[in-house]
Amino acid sequence: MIDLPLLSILTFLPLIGLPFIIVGKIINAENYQNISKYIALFVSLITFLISLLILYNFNINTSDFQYNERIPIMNGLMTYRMGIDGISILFILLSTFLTPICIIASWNIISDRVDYYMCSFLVLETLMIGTFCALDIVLFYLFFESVLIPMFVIIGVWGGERRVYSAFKFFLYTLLGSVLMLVAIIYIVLASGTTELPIIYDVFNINHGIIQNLLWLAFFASFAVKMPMWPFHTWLPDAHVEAPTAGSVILAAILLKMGGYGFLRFSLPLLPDSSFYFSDFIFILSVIAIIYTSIVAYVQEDIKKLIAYSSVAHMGFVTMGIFTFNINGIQGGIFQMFSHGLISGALFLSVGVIYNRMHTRKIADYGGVVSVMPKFALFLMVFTLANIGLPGTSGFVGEFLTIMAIFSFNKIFAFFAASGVILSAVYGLWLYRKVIFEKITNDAVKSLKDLTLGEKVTLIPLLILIILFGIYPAPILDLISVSSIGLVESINLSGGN
Amino acid sequence: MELFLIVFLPLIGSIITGFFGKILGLRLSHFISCSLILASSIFSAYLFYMTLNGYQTSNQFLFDWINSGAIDASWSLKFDTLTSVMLVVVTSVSALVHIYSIGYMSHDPYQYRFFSYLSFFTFAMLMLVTSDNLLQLFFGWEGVGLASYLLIGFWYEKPSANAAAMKAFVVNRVGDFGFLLGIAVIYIATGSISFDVIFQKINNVNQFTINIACLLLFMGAMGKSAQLFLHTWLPDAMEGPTPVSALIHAATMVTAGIFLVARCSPIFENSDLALSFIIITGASTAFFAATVGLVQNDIKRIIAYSTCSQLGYMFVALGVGAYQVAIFHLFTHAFFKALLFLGSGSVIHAMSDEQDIQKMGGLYKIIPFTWIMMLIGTLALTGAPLLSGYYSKDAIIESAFASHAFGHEYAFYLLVFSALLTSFYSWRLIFLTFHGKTRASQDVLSKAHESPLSMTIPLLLLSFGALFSGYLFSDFFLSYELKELWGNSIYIHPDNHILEEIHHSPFWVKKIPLVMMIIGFIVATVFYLLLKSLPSFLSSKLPFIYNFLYNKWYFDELYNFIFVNPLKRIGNFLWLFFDKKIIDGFGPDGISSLVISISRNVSKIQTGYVYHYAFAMLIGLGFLLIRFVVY
Repeated sequence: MIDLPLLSILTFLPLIGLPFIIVGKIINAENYQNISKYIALFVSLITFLISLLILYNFNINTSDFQYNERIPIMNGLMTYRMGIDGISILFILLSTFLTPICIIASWNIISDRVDYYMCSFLVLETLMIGTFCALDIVLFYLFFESVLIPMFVIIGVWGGERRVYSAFKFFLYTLLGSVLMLVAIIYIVLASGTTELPIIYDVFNINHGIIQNLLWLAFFASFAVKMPMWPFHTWLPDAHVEAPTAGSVILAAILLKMGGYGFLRFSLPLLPDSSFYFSDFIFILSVIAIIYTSIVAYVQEDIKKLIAYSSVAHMGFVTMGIFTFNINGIQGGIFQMFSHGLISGALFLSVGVIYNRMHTRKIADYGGVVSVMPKFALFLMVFTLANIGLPGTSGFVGEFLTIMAIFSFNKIFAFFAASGVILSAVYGLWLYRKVIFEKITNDAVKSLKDLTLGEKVTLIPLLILIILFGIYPAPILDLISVSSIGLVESINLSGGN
Repeated sequence: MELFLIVFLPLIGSIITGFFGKILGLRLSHFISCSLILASSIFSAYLFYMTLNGYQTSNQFLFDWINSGAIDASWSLKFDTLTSVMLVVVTSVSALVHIYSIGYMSHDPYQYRFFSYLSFFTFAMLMLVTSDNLLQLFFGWEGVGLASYLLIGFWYEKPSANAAAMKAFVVNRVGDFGFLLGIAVIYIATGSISFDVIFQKINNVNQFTINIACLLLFMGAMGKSAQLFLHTWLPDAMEGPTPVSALIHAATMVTAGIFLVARCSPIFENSDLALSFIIITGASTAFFAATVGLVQNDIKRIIAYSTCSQLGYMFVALGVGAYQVAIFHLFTHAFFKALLFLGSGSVIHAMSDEQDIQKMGGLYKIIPFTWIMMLIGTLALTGAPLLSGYYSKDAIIESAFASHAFGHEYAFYLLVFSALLTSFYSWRLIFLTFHGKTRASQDVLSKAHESPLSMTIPLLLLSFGALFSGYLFSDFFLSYELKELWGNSIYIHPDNHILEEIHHSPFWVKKIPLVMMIIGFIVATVFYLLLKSLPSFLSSKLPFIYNFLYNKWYFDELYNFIFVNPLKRIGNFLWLFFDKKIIDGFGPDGISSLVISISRNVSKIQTGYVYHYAFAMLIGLGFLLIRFVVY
């Protein structure tokens, strides 16, 4: 096979849809909105197929970067450098898999400015894939921050009533983080004389001290907001509540994972001593996140807010796992991110299903849905149980591995983290009971229709993957195994305290 | 032999009835799910027969599960003696309950779902008992918990059923929290979660770690087997359909804790501390539940407390190191307790869903077959000579006496006294339900009828188990000579000779359970057949004791006060005050307003009481960070 720049093709393929949508708009004024859906779906499916092709030729036995592409640009000021390892390919697959599902989920829901909506999603996909492919630190920064723009647009244009407030909050949080990260990136680039990440890995080496700690904190500011970690989480519930369904799916499934990915790609390998030094700090915040947000989730009256808070709690396991510096913890953390992408995506899609029928997200407006939507109840049951971390679903694998790793790292923290097992059952089953079970109290519920074909098409693949990877997670664990081990070893080489 | 079929046939049944039940129709669905379970139970019986003839372990590897670093968990099935006993219990009771449910649930529109859940439960339980590592056991453990949750809440329109289902799941999760940490302790200590490796390496682990591991694992067992402090879910679980109570909350799932400790005997045998803790917990539970059972009026709740109490007996046997004895009682108990539950289901069925025994009485003429079945169950439970409970329960009491472990005397006396209480509440149930003048309304009585064949035949078969399972298998479980048959499935410490010592207990110890049973019977006869005003006289004279028992020692009230009610308050506080006022107030919302207010008047910031408080917290966080940065 000729050496095609597959990663670039993958990254920019979604943009191919844009001119078609625009041309469609120009030449066919009557039906262009409908056509734009088909174009977006078609393009995103092709993108997904190409990502599968990349996976097919991916070598899981090396932790080196693969599919490398390198073009110096801007007079050598930075490099267009792409490449993936076992960690990034997982998130690429998650992005390319979820985008078509989001497009299908928006099919009959978005009626206003459909063409712009589809364009936003295609741009969003490009930027997400780019974030995970970029191996140049500046390129990464560009992708990483630009992702917010289409997300802002999606929330701001197609969002709910308080969308301006949410967008503002989101903006303030991320602004702070990205400014600090930019400073840290400039420092690192100046210190190592290159912007290429693989080279920086080799040459960048500073002793542990205040500088390294400050650099670490600068990265932390950005990634902790994205994750989000407590106490930087309050933008998430608001953003979710205002976002349209598909926006919530991408937000929860992909955007949150960029924080964890950042920790793995930058904080740990570049600043290992500070990472180790701050691990207790991370653990404290994560344990607070797990317990605090679980309890807060329990008292929410809005379905989406409840799930948003539960996301924060689940991300607590991820950060803890990553900062154990232990193969189980890192693999578990990555797996947890992947699995949470599937589960939270599925949960937000499910909320969308009933929201589109009832136009309310208040838990109290529901009850007894199982009598009229038994199929939907079954789907939501599986997703809820996966969110609770029941063995046999993908939610368990990551949680289990991280708890094992945390335990070997610090038993007290493990004790508190494991209490999340109880709390997640409390709010998860509470939500399910109030929405699905008990007698119908709201007359509007009585006339609900069960899942449509389109909804099934979006939910069934997620259901299958959640159970499949719960019973047989080996494909995912194998995919990330060598790269995770490589990461752990590279940390040990620089020697912690 | 394709032993994995035992485990997977029920799963197939569950999938078929769950997804294709409506297409296949009611009769075909019943036929498929029942015959698959029956096939599974026939295979299990065959395996058990082989075991009795000296067949030893075989492992069947299916495929990898979680493989990361040193964690190497696979899906694989282990068939040893302990497993084969459990398989017989689970599959045979499950098959009978399936058949019984055809009649019991015949008017329910959601039968497909019911049968699907029942079969799924059986599958999960079989995964639990055939597991060859802690993680797969945990899978089965949570799987049966899920099935229990779904079946307790089967009638989902009832708020009480939903509350009970959720309570069962959450309380079990508290136990699972311990279980999960226990797995972690063992994994850190031995580097593995596979039983074979753990049991080999456990001797090199220090005593403290073993103690902690055992206590944590036992915490899981306490949740699932409804031991004191984590028992509150079991009585409420009676909200589920009665066949569920018989299968899950009497015969099988609740004994998972017993199985866990027996399976991990190589670990527990090394921890005297944990074993003593088990003895004391078990004995206390046996006593506690028996006292509560004395005054309850719901026929199913009485039997539920009885189950709780009998599980306490089993734990005492485990604690003194008499694992086979515990499994023996598990084995016999499964039959007679399932018989009692299904019998009470037959009563409830006959009485138009009435469960209050104060509104029954004199039913023996109307439903004589059920009456006889309940009598057999009661005799077996109370330990009438030659019936199954006589062998297993007496063996537990004797082993408590013969033990040298710390707490064994406490256990012995409590168990002996509980035997009296057991006899009393069991006969109270029988007398109030079947004897004396009826207190039921004419309307109910006129509709009362004996149950259909699909319900009576399982009762009959279970009654054979209740009658003969003790006599037939006591050698296999209790004989010191036949312990070779158990192979490696149960580890007995070289210093532990309890099985032999049981046979040397003094005469009075051997006879005292029987005496207690007779006293209980006599007292119950006096109270409920001869001097019928006595119970109400006593309860009015001793209201404190009566209310204390009737309200189940106020455990629910206590837990609501300590855990349930504060959780909402804490949640609202954290959300409305901390998230909104402090984090948002100082974060995004605060920044803009702060800039304005600072420029206006610095001193005004401190006027707000809330902000005052919050400001101090923020400074604290800042100091924390500074400490980390500048070290």
